[in-house]
Amino acid sequence: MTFEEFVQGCSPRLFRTALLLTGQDRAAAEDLLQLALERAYRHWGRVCRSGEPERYVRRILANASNDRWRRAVRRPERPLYPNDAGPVAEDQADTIAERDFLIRALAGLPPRQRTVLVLRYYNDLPEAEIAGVLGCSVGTVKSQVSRGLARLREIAKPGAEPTEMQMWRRSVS
Amino acid sequence: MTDFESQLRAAMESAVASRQPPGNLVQQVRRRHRRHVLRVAVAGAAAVAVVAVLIPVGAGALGHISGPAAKHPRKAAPTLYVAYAGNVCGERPCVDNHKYPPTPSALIPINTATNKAGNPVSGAGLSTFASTGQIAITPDGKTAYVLNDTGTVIPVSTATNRAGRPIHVGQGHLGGPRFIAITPDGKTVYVANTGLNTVTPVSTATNRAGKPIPVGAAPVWIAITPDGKTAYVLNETRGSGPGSVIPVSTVTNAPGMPIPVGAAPVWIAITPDGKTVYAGNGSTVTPISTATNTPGKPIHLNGNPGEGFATVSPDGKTAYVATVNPDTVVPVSTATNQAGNPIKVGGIPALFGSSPIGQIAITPDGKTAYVLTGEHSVIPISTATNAPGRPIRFGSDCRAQPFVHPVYSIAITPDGKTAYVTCEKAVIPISTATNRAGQPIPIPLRDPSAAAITP
Repeated sequence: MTFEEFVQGCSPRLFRTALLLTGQDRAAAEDLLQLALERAYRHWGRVCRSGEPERYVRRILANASNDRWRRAVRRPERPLYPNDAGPVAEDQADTIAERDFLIRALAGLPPRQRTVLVLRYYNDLPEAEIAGVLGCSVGTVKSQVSRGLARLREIAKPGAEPTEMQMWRRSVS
Repeated sequence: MTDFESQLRAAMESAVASRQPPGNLVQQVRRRHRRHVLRVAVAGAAAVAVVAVLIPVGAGALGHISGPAAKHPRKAAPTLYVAYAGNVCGERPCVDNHKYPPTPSALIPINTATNKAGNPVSGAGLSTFASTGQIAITPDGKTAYVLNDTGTVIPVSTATNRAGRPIHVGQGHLGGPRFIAITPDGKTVYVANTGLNTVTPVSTATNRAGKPIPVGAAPVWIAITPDGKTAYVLNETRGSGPGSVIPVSTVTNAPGMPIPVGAAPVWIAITPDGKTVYAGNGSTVTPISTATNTPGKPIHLNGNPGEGFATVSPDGKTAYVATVNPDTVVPVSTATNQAGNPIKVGGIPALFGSSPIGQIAITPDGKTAYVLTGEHSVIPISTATNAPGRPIRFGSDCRAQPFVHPVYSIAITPDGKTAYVTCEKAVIPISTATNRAGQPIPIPLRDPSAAAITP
């Protein structure tokens, strides 16, 4: 498989993962994906021979995303909220609002929790593989998943103390 | 799976289902990769420029010092520094280590007299996950500044090979700094913070960063005039708009008016007399007069100069511009800004149907231009006749990966006797007298990211 074929075939899926990892920041997602693909490109012969180039790139995406956010926390320059949420259909407004809310809440999670949730529920990776991707134990993955879910539930719970995210949503709606 | 989990999954699916990556993604990756590979060419070019500038400075200094310096002319051989960027596993364990061995970032000094690699330079900032990029060496040869694209510059003493405290310059959310240049007087290092749209001056006396200078969108390249008065900053510009070049006064650190150049520019090069700055993009080379800071008529080339790189000969008469598709080196006369006959440098169709040629280093005497090609070779071009010589080929150290990396970078010693080519697994000296490759210098690390030689 040439690198070009690989990008053609896999980049939509990888890009969507990057979008979720970066909290729907399109510019950051593009940069992240470029970074990951460039690294794969450097070693394409090896990466291709491994038989799972997508897995390789996804691993770079996940780790680079964690790393990027860790740096961003140190130097907070990131846009706090998604700046380009993409097209939204007018009908089914309620469901979409609810989903949109969950996604925004996801963007507000600590990066590591967000990453494990994206890998677990968007990429459907088993816990053991996530542990492999992030270089941590299965136990850590489990605890991060459950903590992440708990926080999302907390935010999504009706009548909960309004979070920063909710305040923001109210201010813009 | 609970309801909530299914809900989350559906939310994720629907949030991104209709989103598409940019159409020119492959091109973008290629450009990014080229930038990664090209860093070294810059370091090489800087070394050549430094030599040109050093001669009068060195002569002046000797005049002042008189006796002792002449009695003890023994000078340590120049050191070749090769930077290695670590991969993603460098910082944390990768489960499938056996497939992709982690490579730590490091800076390796090589003695150019003995061709022996020294111990890796260690220190904070040199072992991080992000790539250790370009190297800029002060004209006095005392300090090498290494750019780390996590947003720092690391000063390394060339006498002790120890790294100093990293100097923070900036990290935008679109990426860290990508370019570093030193003024000819060695007093200031300028760093292009690509993600922050600024250039940060760093005083080499204090190793402290000054106030960032706002420039245009995505600064990616800095060329300083030989008189040291102006730093020309190339702004790549995000999106599809035209790029620009902004002159920054090194005295006041104030940016001037942007000079428009073609869309998506990649490199700039300056003539040794400081009169012209050339900016190359996907289809043209734009000459800029530094007297008026206005762009001249774009020079159209047959191939694509935006994929390549340009080096101006030490006599300032010719700018050698590498183009891709077709793979050639085009000599451009700096007097007339006319392109000469393209010199074919061949190259097998590499990954994307074109070979990644582009790095050109010219010997200090200006007689030979060495061009890296995509077929694991270096082609010497006689600048007198503009005829390509026999390709210089390398052993398996440069051929480990059939698709991607042939040879990475080339740097020539100040005396012009040896050109060093960094390959995936070794550094190879080439005698410029015979144009033959010498014994490979083995390096324990892979994939060099930059190289530079002390004066």
